[in-house]
Amino acid sequence: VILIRRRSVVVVALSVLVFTSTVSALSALYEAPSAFAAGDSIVITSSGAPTIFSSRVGMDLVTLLEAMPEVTYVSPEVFAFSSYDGSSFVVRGVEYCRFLPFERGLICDNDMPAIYSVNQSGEALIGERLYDRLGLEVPFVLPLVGSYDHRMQTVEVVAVYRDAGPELPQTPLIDELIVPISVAQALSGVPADEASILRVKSSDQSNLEELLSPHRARFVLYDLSLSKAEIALGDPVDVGVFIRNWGESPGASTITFLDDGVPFHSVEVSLNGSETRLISTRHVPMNSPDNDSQSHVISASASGDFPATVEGEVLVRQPFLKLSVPSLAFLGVSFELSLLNHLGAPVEGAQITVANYGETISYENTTGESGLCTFVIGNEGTFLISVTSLPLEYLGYEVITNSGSIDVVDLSFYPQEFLPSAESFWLAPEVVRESESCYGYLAVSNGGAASGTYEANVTVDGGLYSVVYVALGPLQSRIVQVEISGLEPGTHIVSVSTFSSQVRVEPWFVDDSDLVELVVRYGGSSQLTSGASIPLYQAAKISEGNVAVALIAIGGISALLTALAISSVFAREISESRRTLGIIRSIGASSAIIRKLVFVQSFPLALAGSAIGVFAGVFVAATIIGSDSFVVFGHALSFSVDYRILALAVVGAVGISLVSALASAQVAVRQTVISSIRNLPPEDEPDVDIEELLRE
Amino acid sequence: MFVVASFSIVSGLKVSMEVLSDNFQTEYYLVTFPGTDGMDFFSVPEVILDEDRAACGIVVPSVVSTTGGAVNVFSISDPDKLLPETIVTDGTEVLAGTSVSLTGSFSLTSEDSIEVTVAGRYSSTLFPSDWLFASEYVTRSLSSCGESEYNFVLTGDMTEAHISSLRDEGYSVQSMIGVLDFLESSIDEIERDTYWILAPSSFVIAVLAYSFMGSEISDRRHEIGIVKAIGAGRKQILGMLLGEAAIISVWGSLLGLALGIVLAYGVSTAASVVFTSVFVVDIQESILVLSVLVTISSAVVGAILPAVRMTTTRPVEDLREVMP
Repeated sequence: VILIRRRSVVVVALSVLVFTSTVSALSALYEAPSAFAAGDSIVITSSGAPTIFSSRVGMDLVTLLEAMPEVTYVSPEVFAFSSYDGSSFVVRGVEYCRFLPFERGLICDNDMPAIYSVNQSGEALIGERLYDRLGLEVPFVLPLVGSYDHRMQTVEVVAVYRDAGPELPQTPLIDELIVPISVAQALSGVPADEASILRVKSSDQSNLEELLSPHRARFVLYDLSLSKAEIALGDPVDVGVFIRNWGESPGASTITFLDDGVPFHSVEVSLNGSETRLISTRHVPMNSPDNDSQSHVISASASGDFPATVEGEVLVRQPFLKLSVPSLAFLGVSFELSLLNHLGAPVEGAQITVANYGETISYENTTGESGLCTFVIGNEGTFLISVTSLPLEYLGYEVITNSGSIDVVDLSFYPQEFLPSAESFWLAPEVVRESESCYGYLAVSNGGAASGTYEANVTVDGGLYSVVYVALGPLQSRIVQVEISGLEPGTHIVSVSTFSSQVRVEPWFVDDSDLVELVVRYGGSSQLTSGASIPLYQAAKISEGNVAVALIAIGGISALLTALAISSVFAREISESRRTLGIIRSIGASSAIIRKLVFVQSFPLALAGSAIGVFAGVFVAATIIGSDSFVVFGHALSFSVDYRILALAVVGAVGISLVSALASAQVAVRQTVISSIRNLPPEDEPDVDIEELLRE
Repeated sequence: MFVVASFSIVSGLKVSMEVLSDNFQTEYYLVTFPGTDGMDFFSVPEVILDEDRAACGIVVPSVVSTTGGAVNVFSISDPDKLLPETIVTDGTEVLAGTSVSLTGSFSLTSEDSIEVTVAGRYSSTLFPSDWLFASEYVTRSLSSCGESEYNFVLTGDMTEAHISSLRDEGYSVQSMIGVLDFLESSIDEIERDTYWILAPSSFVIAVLAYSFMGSEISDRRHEIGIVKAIGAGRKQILGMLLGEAAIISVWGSLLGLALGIVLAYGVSTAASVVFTSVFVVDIQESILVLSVLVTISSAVVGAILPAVRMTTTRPVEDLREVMP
C-alpha cells in the first residue's frame, strides 16, 4: 500500500537544499573575519573583543610562545583599514622577520618571483588580488589613512605577495596590504607593545589550543614595584607585584621572589577568573662580604604553563649622605646646596667646599639645621663640589651627589632678552572618562639672560581653550601642567605651539557592556541621541550585531520555509491517501498500525530527501562560494562545512516530515470509515489488493 | 512571504548601517593623484578651490647626508586654517617628528639636495612622528614640482558630487577615517553576497509554487468534467483555469506580503534580543512588487501545463473522478 508517493522526496530535497545552501553561505559570511585572520593556524585574540579588529594582545606573549618547544612560528599582527581609489582593503601590520617564515608566500616583482629583503621601515607588500583590483605597478608610493582617527601615512609598495602554489592552502593575504607593524599600529592607534592578534603554528596544534583556551586559569605578572631604588645596607625594601588570572576558571599559582636569583619569599596565590591581586613582601638585601656597594636584581616569577618573570633593580650600599647640587649658577647670584642622610633627614654641621679645577679659587660653608648652605661665586667656570668634613655621627659615610660640579655662567654673555621656546608637549592620560580631566605637560625653556613670562595658547580642536603663563628666569627650563576638563565624549586634538596630542573622552557607560546594550536598544533603538556618545569601536560591535541579526533572521526564515514546505507536502500526501486509509481502517487496522504504516513509509522518504538535499545544498554552497565572487571585508569568502548545521538540517527535516505525516494520518483516521471511502476519489495508484493488505 | 521577509532584512542591514554611520562623519579627505609610481604632483583642482577649504601639502622621500637613512620630508600650506593643528617653520629650518633623532645641520637629497637645520620638534595627530616638517621652499627644492603643484591635499566638507567628480578626473579621494569607507564597502559586499544567496532560493520557491499550483488543478478534474459536460469549450476551460490560478496567486501573494512584513519584523526583533544592534527593517516597494509578480507568474506558468491537459481529456473520464 502506498500512502506517501516517492515524488515527495523531491520537495524534501529541494527544501533541505535551500536551507543547507543558504545557511552554509550565511555562516561562511558570519565567520569570514575570523576565518581570514587564522588561515590554517591558531589565532590568539583578546577574549571579549567584539571583532578581531578590536582585539588587543600583549606582545610579551610572543616571546613566551616562542620559548615553547612545540611552537614553530609566531606572528604578531595588527589590523587597520584603509582605502585607495575607491577600494577599501585590510592593512595587515607584520614583523617581516616572523611573518615571512610563517606564511611562505611568493614575493614577486610585479609578475616574476623575486628575492626581496623587505625592511621594517615603510616598505609594503601587496597581495596579488588586491594588486589586480587596484591596478598598480610596483614599486609604488601608496598613501594610507587612519582606521579610527584622522591620520595620514605613506608606504612604498615594493613587491607583490602571491600564493605559494596549490600544495599550500590559499592565503587570505592575497587580498590585503602587508605593512610593517609600526605603520599599522600608527594607523589603528594600537600601542607599540600590543598586537591585534597572534598567529601561531605548532607541531602539536591541539595541545596548544587546549593550553591557550581562555577557560583555563592563566597567570600574568606585571608592575613589579620597589619602594626605593637605592637603600643603605640593612634597610628593608618593599617589593610588590600584581598577578592577574586572565583565564575564566579559578586557579592557583606560586609566586617566588628572588634576590639575584636566590629565592627569599614564596607564596601560593589562588585567584578567580579575571581577578587581579597585589602581592607584597619586605626584603633586606645583603651585600657579599667584599662589596660595600652592590646592585641587586629583585625579581618575581609565577609558575604555570606560561612561567612569567618581572624584575627590578635596587642598589644597596653602606649608609650614605646625599648632596643635591643645581646644574647651573649665575655669577654673583646666590645658590643653595642641600645635604641629607639616606633616610632623608637633614645633615647639620657638614662643611662643603666649592673650588675650581686648580683650586685657585675656593669657597667654604657649613650646612645649617635644614641641611642647606648658601654660596655666592664671583668667578665664571666649572666648580667642583666636595664635602670636606662631616659631623661625628656621620663620619665614614659615603657622600653621593647628583652632580659633582656646578657651572657658573656670566649672564652678560647671553642675549639680554627673554627667549622662550616650547620644547615638548604631551597629554596624560590619553583616554579619560566624561567629566574627568586630562593634563597637558608643556616643557618650556628660556635661552636668554632676561627673565620673562612665556604665554602659550592651548587650543582644543582648533579653538582657543586657555592661555598658559610660565614665568622663566634666565636660562631656566620648566615643565608646567595644564588641566583640560569639560570635554565632550569623542576624540579631541589639543595643540600648543608646534605640538599636538590627542585625547579620547569616553562616556561612562562604555565600560559596562550590559548598559551599552540597554542604551543602544532602548535609549535609541534607531536614532542615537549623540553621535559622539558611541565610540567607533562600539559602533563596530553594533555593526557586527546588525550583520548577525540579518544573517540569523534570514537563516530563521529559511528554516521556517523549509519546515512549511516539508510539512505541507507530507500533509498533502496523507490527505490524498485518505481513501486508502479508510479502506485499511474498514478492515480492522488500529490507529497504531496506521501510524506504523505511515512511519515506515515516511521515514525512508524523509531521510532520503534530506540526505539528497544536504549533499546538493553543500555542493551548491561550495560551488557558489568557491567561485570567488563572494567577497566580504575585501576577502574572497572561503567555504567550510559545518557538520552541526548539516546534522540539524537532516534531523530537522526528518522530524518535521514524520510529525506532519503522523499528525495528518491521525486526523484522517478520525473520520468515519464510510465517509472516507465514499467521498474520496480513487487515487492514481493501482487499486488496493485487499488480500495483500490483509496479509500485511 | 520568504522573498519579502528575506530581502527586506537584507535591505534593512544597509539602512541600519547608514543610521549608524550617520553618527560618524569624517572631517577630512585625503586627495592624491595616482601616477605610475605613486603620488604624482598636481595643481589643486578647481572643484576644491571653488567650494572647499583645503590644506595643500608636499611629501618627498629623501636621504639624510649624515646617516644615509631615508626620511619623508613634508610641508603643508593651510591658509584657511582647516586643520586642527598649526605647524610652522621658515626657510631651511625643519622640525623633527618626536621619533626622529636627527639634530643639527645636514643635507637632504631627493631629486635635488638642500642643506637644512633642525630648529625644533613637532608632534601631530595627523602626520607620522617619523617625518620631518619643512617649509614649502625646502620640499619644492627637493622635488621637481611646478610652482603651484602639490602631491596631497587635505580637504573638508566634501560632498558626494565633489568626490565623484574628482574620482572621474582620476584623483584618489580617501576618507581620513578608514573604517567608515571600510564598513560601508563591507556592508555593500555582505548585501550583495546575501542577494546572491537568496536568488537561487527564490527560484526554488518559484518552482514549489509552480508544482503546487499544477497539482491543485489536477485535483479539480471532477468539477472540470461537469463544466465540460454543460458545454464549456476548450478556450473557456483554459481561460477559467488560468484565471483561477491568477486569482489564487494574487490572493496568496498579497497574504504572503503581509505575512512577510510581519515575519521580517518578528524575526529581526527576536534576533535583536540576542545581539547588540541598531536594526531597522527596510521594506522596499520594488521588492513587494517584484515578489507579487514572481509569485503570480510562477503560479500561472505552473498552471498552464495541467490546464492544457485538462482541456484535452474527455468529460466522461473527468466525471469518473468522485467529488470530494
